[in-house]
Amino acid sequence: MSTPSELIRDPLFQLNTLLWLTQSLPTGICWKPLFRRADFQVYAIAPMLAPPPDVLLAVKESQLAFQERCRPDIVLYRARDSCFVLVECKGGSFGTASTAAEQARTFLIVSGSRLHESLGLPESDVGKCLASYLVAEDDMPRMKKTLTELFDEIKTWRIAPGEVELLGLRLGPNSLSLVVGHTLKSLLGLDTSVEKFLDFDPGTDPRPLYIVPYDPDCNQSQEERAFCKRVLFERIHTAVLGAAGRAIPPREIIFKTEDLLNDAMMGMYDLWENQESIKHMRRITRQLLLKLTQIVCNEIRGAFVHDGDVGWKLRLANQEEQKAVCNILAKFSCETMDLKVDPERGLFD
Amino acid sequence: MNIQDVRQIDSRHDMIRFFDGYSFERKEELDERQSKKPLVKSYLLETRDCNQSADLMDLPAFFSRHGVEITPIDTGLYRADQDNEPIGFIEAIRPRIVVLYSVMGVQSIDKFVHGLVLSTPEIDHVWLSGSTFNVLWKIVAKLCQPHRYVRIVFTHDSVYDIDGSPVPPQESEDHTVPEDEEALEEESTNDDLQPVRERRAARFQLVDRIRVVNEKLGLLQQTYSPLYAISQLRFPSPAGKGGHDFYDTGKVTNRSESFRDHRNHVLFVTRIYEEMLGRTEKQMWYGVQTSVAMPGEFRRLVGAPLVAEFKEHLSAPVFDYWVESTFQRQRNRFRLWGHPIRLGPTKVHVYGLDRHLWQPLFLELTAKGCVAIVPKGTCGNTVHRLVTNIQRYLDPGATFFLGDEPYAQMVEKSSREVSYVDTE
Repeated sequence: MSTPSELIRDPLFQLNTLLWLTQSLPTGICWKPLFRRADFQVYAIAPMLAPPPDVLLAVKESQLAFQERCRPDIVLYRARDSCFVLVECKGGSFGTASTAAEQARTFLIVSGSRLHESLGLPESDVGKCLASYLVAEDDMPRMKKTLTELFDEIKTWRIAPGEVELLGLRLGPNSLSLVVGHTLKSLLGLDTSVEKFLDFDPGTDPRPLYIVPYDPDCNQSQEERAFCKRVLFERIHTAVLGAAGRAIPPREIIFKTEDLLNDAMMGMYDLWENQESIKHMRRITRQLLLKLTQIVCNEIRGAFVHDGDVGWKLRLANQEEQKAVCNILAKFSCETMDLKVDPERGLFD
Repeated sequence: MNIQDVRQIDSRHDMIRFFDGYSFERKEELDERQSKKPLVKSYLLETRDCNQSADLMDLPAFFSRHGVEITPIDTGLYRADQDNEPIGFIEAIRPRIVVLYSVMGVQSIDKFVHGLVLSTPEIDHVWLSGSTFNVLWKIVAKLCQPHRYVRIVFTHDSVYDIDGSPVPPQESEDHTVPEDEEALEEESTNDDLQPVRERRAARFQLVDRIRVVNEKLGLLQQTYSPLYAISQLRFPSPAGKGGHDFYDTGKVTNRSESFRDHRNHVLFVTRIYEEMLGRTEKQMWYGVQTSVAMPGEFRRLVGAPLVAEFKEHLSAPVFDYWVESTFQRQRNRFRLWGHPIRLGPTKVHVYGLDRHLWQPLFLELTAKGCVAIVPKGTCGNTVHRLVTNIQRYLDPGATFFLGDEPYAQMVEKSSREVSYVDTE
């Protein structure tokens, strides 16, 4: 498992940290939800945002390398002043010539004065808006340099980028803090630019329960990817076992890969647009389901099978069979699988 | 229950008259200390249709699957028989809650209800936690004359905190009580042969005037936390002496002379509980929601976690024993399933299931407390059972929050929504 200093560079840990900082939580226990305390809520997770056509045209004419749209990891919103904070989680800094910089240009442009159009809102519904990158504190200086260069570059072409400021994660001795600049300090109503939000016990992994368990598009270490895959598998396993336990036999339960993924991801699987990522997620889900069908069928022949046209069929002929299937599924742990190895592409991939 | 008497009942009015007369006779016997027949008992059960999205259950079909024949005798009221012998009457008093009224012997009917609940995820007890009882007790104090007597039973059994090498506790998965409902657990006659195992266990009853309990209980609770773990509470009957004993599993024994009054109390607490369920689910259900108020297809995250803060932090051995006993045994007191992911000496994450209702439940367990995420669709009962069990078996003084709202405040708000009137 990753050390805390590695963890604060993991984009999925960063995203889940940000989500917990927006949760409604009691005072003085576990996490201090800094964004929630300042009345920010999650407006959208990974929304697809594109600049308005005229802005897009202007950017194209500029010949700046950019992407036509972007998906910030999270958009936070505060109703009282219609303030929007768009955040992108980054495992490390990047330079102006990188692919990440192309995405960053679009991100900065979208977060500008025309954000309301990208969000599909009246102009009056968007007050202040801020673009932000969440990075480990060590990465902040280089990231700041890159963003300043990109900001100035965009302005040269008479396109108005949005205000940008970094959010940093600082690892202290058994604590995590948020490092903010002037604007975020003011928006969050903080007294200092470094605010502690979590104390954790020595030798303990500080991660919270993952709300978003898996993201094939984010750059993770092999170890972290395996951990996240385990969380995803645990959730899919839970969904399969739960459905088997709740059923009233005789019953045939049909599991669709997409439904299982959506359940496990709390509805976020539908957001993925990258076809390769979609295929990857379906492939790893199949890896788990094949294992589950195998362990069930080893004891009850034909009880859990894959039917290409329909999905994964779990047959519960009677209460005894249901009890046996539930026991088999409950005993299995995906911990026994080699989660660092992704399955080979299948014939139909 | 006399078969002929019961078979003649063909309306709610008749049933109430029957139980009213029966309760009056039993109260007279109790007063003369000559109890001849069992008391009237009500069992509150939460129902959920597993195969349909709607909450309403097809009661005849459900009970038929479990060998109980139910015959409709009035709107939402059924007579229940098993093997041609009457068990009692089942009334659908709220959309999600049914009550079984019975005059069978306590052991038989407890066993029947317990077996029914264990056999299916479609039905569960109504879980009244120590925190819920603390709010209900305040209602009792407001409702009743200060000179009336109240009876409160406290139960805390620190099953995971054993002095010496851990011995697996008997995982009974239930909270059923002995035949004599008022008797506290007595020392076994074979205790001389038992090995000496020490652990904190508190089970005792307090009977005193409401005025006295009102003055002292809060102070006592601050001094001795097992007093937060209320497991039974008597609502004194306004109709006369005696009252209605509510148990933490939703069982209610009528020790008053009036069944009408008993039923009113059952309805009152049921409505509070149903309000609690609704609030819990509305507040806690996690999911990504596409909001129609928002243009486009933007999805926002909704939901709030249940947070428990232990008053007394668990030691590492107790924490380990708790996690091990809960997730390595199929039959465990918390009725949870999952494969813990160890994140530190006293921290685990479990993306698991409530093994009774087979609904997902994601948990962070530490020596200092617990955080639970309930995905959309998981029944609020799962949360109330977790709270009840934490208070009963881990830390009676634990404080609970739904998001940033104290659990006790949520119960209080739920009780304020319900008026103390005949809700028939």
